[in-house]
Amino acid sequence: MKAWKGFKGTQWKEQVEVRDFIVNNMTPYYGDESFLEGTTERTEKLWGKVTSLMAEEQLRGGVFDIDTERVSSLLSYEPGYIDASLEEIVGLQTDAPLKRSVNPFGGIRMARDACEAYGYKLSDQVEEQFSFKTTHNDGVFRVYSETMKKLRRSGLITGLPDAYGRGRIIGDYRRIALYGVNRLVDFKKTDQKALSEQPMNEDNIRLMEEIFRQLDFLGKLKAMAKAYGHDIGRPAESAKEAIQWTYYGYLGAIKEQNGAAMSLGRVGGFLDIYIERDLLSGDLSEKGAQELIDDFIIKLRMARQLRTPDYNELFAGDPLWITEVVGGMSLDGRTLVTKNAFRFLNTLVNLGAAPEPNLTVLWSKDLPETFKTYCAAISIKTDAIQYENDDLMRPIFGDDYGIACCVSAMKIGKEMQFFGARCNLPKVFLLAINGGYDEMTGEQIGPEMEVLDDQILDFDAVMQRFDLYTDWLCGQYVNTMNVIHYMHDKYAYEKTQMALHDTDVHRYMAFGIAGLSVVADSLSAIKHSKVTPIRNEQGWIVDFVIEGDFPVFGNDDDRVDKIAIALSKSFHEQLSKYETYRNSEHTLSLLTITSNVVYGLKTGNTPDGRRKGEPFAPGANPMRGREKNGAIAALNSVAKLPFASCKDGISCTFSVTPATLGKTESDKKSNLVALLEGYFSSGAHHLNVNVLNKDKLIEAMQHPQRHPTLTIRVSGYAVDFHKLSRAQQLEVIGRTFHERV
Amino acid sequence: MDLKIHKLESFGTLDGPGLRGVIFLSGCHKSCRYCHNADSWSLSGGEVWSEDALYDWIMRNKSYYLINGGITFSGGEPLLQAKALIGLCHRLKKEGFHIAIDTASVTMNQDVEDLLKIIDLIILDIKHVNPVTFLWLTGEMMEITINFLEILINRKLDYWIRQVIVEGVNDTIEELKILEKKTYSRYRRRIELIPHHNMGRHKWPIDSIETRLDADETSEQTMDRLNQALLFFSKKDNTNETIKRPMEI
Repeated sequence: MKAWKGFKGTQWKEQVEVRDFIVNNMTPYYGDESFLEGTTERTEKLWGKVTSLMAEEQLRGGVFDIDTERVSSLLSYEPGYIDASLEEIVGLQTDAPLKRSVNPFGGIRMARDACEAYGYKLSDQVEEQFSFKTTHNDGVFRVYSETMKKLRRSGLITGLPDAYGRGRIIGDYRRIALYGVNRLVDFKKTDQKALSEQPMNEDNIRLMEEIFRQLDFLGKLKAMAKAYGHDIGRPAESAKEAIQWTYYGYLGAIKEQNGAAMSLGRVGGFLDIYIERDLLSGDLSEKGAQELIDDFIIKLRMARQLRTPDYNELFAGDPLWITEVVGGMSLDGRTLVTKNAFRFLNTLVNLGAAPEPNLTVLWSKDLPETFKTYCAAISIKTDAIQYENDDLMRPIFGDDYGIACCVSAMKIGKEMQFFGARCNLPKVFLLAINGGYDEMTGEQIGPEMEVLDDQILDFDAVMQRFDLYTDWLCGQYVNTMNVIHYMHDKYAYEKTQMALHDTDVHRYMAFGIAGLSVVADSLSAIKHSKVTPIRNEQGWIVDFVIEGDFPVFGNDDDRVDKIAIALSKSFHEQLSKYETYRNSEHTLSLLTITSNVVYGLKTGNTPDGRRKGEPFAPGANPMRGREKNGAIAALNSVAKLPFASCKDGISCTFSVTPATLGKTESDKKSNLVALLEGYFSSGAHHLNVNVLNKDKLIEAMQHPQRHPTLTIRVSGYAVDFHKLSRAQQLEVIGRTFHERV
Repeated sequence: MDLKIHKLESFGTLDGPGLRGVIFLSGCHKSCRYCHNADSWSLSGGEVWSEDALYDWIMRNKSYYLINGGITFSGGEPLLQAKALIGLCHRLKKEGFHIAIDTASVTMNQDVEDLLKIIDLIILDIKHVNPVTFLWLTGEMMEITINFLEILINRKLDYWIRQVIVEGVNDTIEELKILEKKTYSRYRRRIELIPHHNMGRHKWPIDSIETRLDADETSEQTMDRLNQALLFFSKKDNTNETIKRPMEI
């Protein structure tokens, strides 16, 4: 068979095992970046067209156009092109570039509001169609308890995927290229037959119906590609086809689902095998290879979903988290760095810095030095990439995992997660000491108890009370998630993506905490200094008088760092007590996206001295301005947080001025490598790296047109700086920039 | 032994090769007219740290400093606390750290001699090449610095030469040429010119403010001109590697 000509290995031929194919056929690359090629004339032309469309999109208020007549799916639109004569890789979400589709399966109101926010009206046709349809959102609200609604409204739990697609599922899009859809259908049918002989209990019946729907959408996927003139029923025969086939899988997924985070996975090393084969046979040159990758990335940069302004407050900058991991090591000790890892990073040079795809370097101490240095150079130049610790994740997730969203690892095609946003821990704290009352509204939300009546807050008494309420909250949180994901499976099941998973899949249920450093510092204040609560007329605690110094998180001080560790451990333990939907495994993240700003707005004064409305620190970061012992002490505090309890990821964002990193360009690179080595070898999980001056951001705020492509890492993802709201821009500028005076 | 510390810098990238922990010790016997750290002069000032506490601080950040950098003792004048540094540096060398000392030189004594046996690099700040101006600028004889440099060379110890450039004081090509020539040996690894800045002005003690030289910040043009010239007549050094010496027992 031409498709598999020259490919080694046997296991992957008999069953769906992309990893086995990769380890048998990959070519590790130990050299430097000197082989890389720039753009071709054709790429320049095509990219020029796209960038002018994107500029126009900004002029139109962030949305270029909306198709309000049709509902997004794989076959809703005729093929779309930027300029068919220039495109190497084809396929758009709708029939025209940057035109957004309507996807009301999560909830019709969200779709309606989003259209209206940009001056459009959802067509009567779609409204009518959905008036007879139960959406995921309808289903959830049929079951939500009064308490769950209160938790949501008060902002104790926010960002729940109950009105839009849950995302965080990574289809193994490579399977389409390697096996072709026809063979994938055969494999699924075999599974189907085996299941049909099992006892028909609820689990089995549900899974059987899911497979039916997966098969239906594999057929639709084939039809979608056919409209562009490609037969993806058969496996890919060339590098160009492999990229195109893989992209069709991804395209089908984002036509079907508008999940918050729709990662690409780990396609680079896989595609490199096809490129190597074509380079060897002379069918492809290096220039041609880069051209294909550039074209692929152009398509990914054009992916869009229609969102409401509310949504943008939580997840600023129109992100899709098209996360693609590069680098890492294999279980047999070889590096998984291939030339394609370089080519993917090189798109940030060829096409300029951009937030998408969300390129994520899997860092290992054993990566080739040349690759480490190149990554550092790209970070310094673009601020567009993030780093995650492969040496920490590989023992748990193997060597073929991807990252969903920002920091959530999962084995590709074998594991998925139920996304659960995050809970506002400082607000839970205030609720606890106020005996179940929301300090902002006076509404009773939690179990009613006396307001803590200490004159000076006593650490043990506060901890005992806080523990009662976090336990109560964890129970509510798990139940809320169970409702959401039951209904999502029922009304908005990911047919395309799950068709590209094994039938028997491992599920995580991913919970989250926002504001860990605020609570750790608050408890430290209560323990190490004198905190006197101030009550309002109703007797609720609304403020605190803090007398004396206390250690704060971010200074490598165990007195408070241990509090932060204990908080994350106990929260995970409490979650794990409660039964989850489909027996999914409880995991926890310390990640906020940009919601740390909104969370702060919804939270009153806290005993660490933070004032009402002030933003929390992003992710697991220390509160801004509190890291008094320098950059490394701050990173040491974060590195201590236990990954075993926070397997869904611990996000840390780090900004440093170029001058602080070193004098010469080569010093800067080698010092950034040293920083990453030091950080990850202390067991840390994730680092967003920004190398820039605060002045540049302030200037970009005043004169956005001078910095049209300014990209900055915020929390697990990157954004175009000019797409952030004013409040978010100010928060980013207010963050600690490590510099030497 | 205890040490008197002015401040700690965990993310040092400017004082020695690579990423380093920089420990600024307090106390200085000079009184350079353009000093950027006048608040570190006092021999009785500074925070007292035990050797163990400082060792612990370094070890907490160890994973960062063992990659391409190490530890730098700066000041103040770190060699005034040479005796206290010997024990600590012994322990650090055993852990594999590259150790640099950023000094403006002192009169040689036994403690300094012993310390030089342990460390890997001296960053020697030479304030001026003209003995008269040197004296005016620092309140000390230039001879001390020159003698110190000779000892380094005799000991075959790697060193960097540093000079803060102040316009109107030491910004001529002529002076730079002398600096280059006077400090050359096969053990010199780098000459580094540092622009004078005024960010440390407010740190000056009131009672010695009349000795402060209120020069302008050195312009980029001046720095470029001198660095270009330097490149021209000193091509050989300028390495940024951490070359670790075997320990002398």
